[in-house]
Amino acid sequence: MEFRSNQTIASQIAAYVKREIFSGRYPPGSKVPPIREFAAFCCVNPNTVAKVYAELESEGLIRTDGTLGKFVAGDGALVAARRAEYLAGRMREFREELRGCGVGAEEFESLAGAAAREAKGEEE
Amino acid sequence: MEREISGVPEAKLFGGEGIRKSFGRKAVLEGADLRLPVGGIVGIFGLNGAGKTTLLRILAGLDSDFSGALYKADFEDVGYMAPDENFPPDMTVRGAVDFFDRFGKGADGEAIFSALRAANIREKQLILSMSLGMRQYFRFLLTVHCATSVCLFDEPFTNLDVNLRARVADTMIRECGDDRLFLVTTHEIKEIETLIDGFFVLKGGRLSEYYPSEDVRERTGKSVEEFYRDAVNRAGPKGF
Repeated sequence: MEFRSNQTIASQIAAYVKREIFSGRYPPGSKVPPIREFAAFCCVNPNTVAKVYAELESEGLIRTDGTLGKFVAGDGALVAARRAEYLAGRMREFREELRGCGVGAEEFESLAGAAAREAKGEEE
Repeated sequence: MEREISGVPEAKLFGGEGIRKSFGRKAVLEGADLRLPVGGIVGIFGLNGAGKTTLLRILAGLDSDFSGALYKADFEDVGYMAPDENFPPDMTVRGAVDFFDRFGKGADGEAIFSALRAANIREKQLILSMSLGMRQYFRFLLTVHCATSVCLFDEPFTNLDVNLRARVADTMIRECGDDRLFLVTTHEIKEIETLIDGFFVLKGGRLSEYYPSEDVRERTGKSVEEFYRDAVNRAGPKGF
């Protein structure tokens, strides 16, 4: 995995695991990789992965099942709610960025509409 | 009662205080302080001639001609991967592993042989028939797969191709632990910057404070390599 070396590795791994969960690639109730395996896969310090897992656990996205390991939360509704929060947050960041380019609410709406039509075209 | 240093029992600490060492008139270490709990992966970075090898040799117990104090004097429990080598000409891979197993703290022969097989090296092969990089990798394996709670690696990436570098990094990740400390000197900071818990900069015969890698990224917005480059070239005292 490639990292931006001037940002915390933990934040980048957290974003990666969240994308895996929110996209359904790690479905609710599925096992997440063991800390050391995942650290070796990402080529990072195991303590960094442990920290990310602890953080996601405190957000309720993953849980520890005794000695069996760590799992994505089994509650699909909770995962969906966290996903909605995450997406709303990302949208706010994106809007902030465009606002910096002088994009107001109306232009934002028309840009979003055009992007959505383009996405539909690609999916068809 | 056992002495504690910054809340860590002395027995669980590795390093030393006020380490000084000169070669003739040339002072190399001028009061280096190193204090680490045993656990994790830690870098020591410095320019050529800064004294990294001198410091590691003292910490490994290979050089007792210095002043200052070491926390952990149980050198049996400290493995050291030297930057040079002196294998006897008739020694085979298996012979070296047996030697380390007998005279060191116990070597995990199976782990070493299986790693070597993956690199197309057989147990019966003469060490001197291996390439320079492969011998370097072999010495890394001998150090990392011995049962010591501290391993000192002096320039472990030198002479290694991209595949062996990746294997060294992967092995460090799998073999380090909360009760096992890897101390690594290297110029190849990019190779190791996502692996290390933190690092010291060795400069002017002294070690900097300990810089946790994630704190450096978070507080300065710099990569470990950028931060180090600034630190080593800055005239004044260190700090974030």
